[in-house]
Amino acid sequence: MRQTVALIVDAYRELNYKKLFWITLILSAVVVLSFLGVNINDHGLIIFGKAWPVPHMAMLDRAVFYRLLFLVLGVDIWLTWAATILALVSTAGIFPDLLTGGSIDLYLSKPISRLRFFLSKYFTGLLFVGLQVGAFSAASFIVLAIRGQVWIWGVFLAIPIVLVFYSYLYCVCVLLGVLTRSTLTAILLTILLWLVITGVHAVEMKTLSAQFKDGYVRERIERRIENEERNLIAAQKTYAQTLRESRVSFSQKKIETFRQDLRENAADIADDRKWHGRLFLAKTLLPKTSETVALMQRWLASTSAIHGSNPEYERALTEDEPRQIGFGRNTDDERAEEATKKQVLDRPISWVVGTSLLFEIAIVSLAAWIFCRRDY
Amino acid sequence: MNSDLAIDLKHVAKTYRGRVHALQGIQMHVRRGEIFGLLGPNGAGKSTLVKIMMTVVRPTRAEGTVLGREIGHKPTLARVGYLPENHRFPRYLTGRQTLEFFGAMANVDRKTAKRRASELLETVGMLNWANKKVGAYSKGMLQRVGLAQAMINDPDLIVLDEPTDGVDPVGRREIRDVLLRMRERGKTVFLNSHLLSELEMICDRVAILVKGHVARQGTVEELTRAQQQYEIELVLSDPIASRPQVLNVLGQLGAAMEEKQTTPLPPGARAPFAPTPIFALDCGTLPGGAWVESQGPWIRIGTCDPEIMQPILDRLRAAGLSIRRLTPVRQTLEDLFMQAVIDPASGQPLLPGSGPAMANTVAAQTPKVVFP
Repeated sequence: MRQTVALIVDAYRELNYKKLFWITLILSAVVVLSFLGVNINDHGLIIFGKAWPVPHMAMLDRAVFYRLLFLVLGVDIWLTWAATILALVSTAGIFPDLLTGGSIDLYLSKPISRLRFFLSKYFTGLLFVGLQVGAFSAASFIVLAIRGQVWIWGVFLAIPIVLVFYSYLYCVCVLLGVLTRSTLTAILLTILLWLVITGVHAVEMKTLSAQFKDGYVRERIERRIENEERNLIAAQKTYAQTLRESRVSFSQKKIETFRQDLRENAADIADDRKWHGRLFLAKTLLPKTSETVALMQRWLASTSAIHGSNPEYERALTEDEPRQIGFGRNTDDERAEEATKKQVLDRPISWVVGTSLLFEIAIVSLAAWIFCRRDY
Repeated sequence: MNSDLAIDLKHVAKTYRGRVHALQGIQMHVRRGEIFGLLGPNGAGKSTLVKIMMTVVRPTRAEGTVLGREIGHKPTLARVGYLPENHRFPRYLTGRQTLEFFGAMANVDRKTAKRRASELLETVGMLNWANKKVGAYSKGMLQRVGLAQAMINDPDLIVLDEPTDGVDPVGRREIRDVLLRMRERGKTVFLNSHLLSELEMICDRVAILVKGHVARQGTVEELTRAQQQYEIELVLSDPIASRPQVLNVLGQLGAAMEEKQTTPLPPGARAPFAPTPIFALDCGTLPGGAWVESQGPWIRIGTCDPEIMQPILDRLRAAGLSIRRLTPVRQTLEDLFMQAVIDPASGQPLLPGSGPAMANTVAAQTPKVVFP
């Protein structure tokens, strides 16, 4: 225990010595203080005293607004991207520096097992993010309470969530640091893996969204077929033979065309499912960075508050064609995107965090095995 | 298991990547309460051996004990202090924090570590720098703090790898004094150093490691005495003309002398008396077994026993030969070292990778282990 405490104190001293730690803390303070400059009223947003009219702002609850502000600006942008990159840069050198000759000898010659030493160093390496997120959450809690008059205790959920999220990347960084003994290589390859993970997530979302969208198309085609079948029955009852034949023939052709569309749509859906299945498997094996951070949304703001179902989109679904809503997008695109987000947010936490932690355990075990077996 | 031994190594071997044989069956004994010096040229395997003892390197094979426990027994390291070569302390710690931190890592309680840190900083002359970050220290200062770090747990055995590297002469003397005081307190000091003269000054026993083998081991006195000889310089107006007379005297003493071609000494080896190509070199053996060489005005007898010398001197005087000088010549540790690390066949230093014949060469020179 004495050795573990010494390593924790040492890790704190090391952080304290690093300029990047203080720079990150100052930038965090700037982000938190920016919350003070943002306010809402019935007419819109007020950003640093300047009014920005936003329609229907009166409908938005003040507490929800500040929760969203914390989620989007504080968590999604600052903590999970900017601060994470700074944290990686700051902590990636811990193991490569440790493994240099003359340094590692001092530690390994002490009465502490290699595994215990490795794990102690690993967990103390997470101290950077723990302290940063802790300070950020506490400051955000106070600022949001002052500004928004709301006590959002949920902001403290950011501490375990961001810590777990960061540990997915940090374990890879540690493995690369132990393998290559190069800080730069560890940082670059970790960021590359992070981009790959984000890419897999984005493509998986796209294929899932495509499935939903193709489902809406199928609903429409089926409805058209039903309508046309009704038209066909009506046409068959037409008295005048020539007209009847013409109508029946027209309806039958249309039905055949729709059925062809339906077959093509079924092939598209099967294709979507196949690709989605593969990407889902890849995601299951990889750490789920985006979905872990999205846990904040589940707990801090209800899904409907963030991605509330738009009744206009629901109505548009009953129409023959989706409505265009601008920027080349239509109501089906929006609805599919919402359904995708909802499905992703509804995934079990055991899958999101559990499988990611299994990945982390595997990577840390490999790094520990290399660390313990190596000669220095 | 011998309880008198602080380090008792048997068959310690290390092969890197299945190809590089860094250590090839080391046998070494260090008594409790002595200062032991480990010598050897670069690449001899000294650091590997030290690192195996300190569990930094995993041995391919290792039998033996450190402080009575098998090699690699981690809890025993709480009783061992270690200063690695070119050590790197965390730059963000002060000297005092460094000692306290590594004290905690050695399982020393906080209060004791604080007290010992102050004492040791004073001992190594770093009290005035105690609260400065080690990043600002000079090499010599780092060595001093490193030594203090190795002593923070009041170890029974202290292993020092090049402790005086970068330290000025005053500092070296202080470090030597610290080590001598440790020996007085019954502690064992294991020194790995290139500074042979320093080792000679303080080591009770030394071992010379050459390409993964122990080439010599014993007390400095024993190892150097084994090579002791007497050199007689005669007063000869014409050494060439007087050669038959000198050989006649040596023949009367029972030495059958044969002329040998003078061969140059291997690089680094010190001639016991100045060789010169103009005088023939005659060699023989006295009835007692001591070898004898004659060259010009010099006669060299391979013995450290003054009694053997008396009849030789008498005979020389009786033959009318005047003696200018009689000098007992004793090898220094450096001579011994050079002799151990020079390949007798090639006259070249035995450097790492200098050929596969090394194992045979060293094995052929039966290691001279003197361990009374």
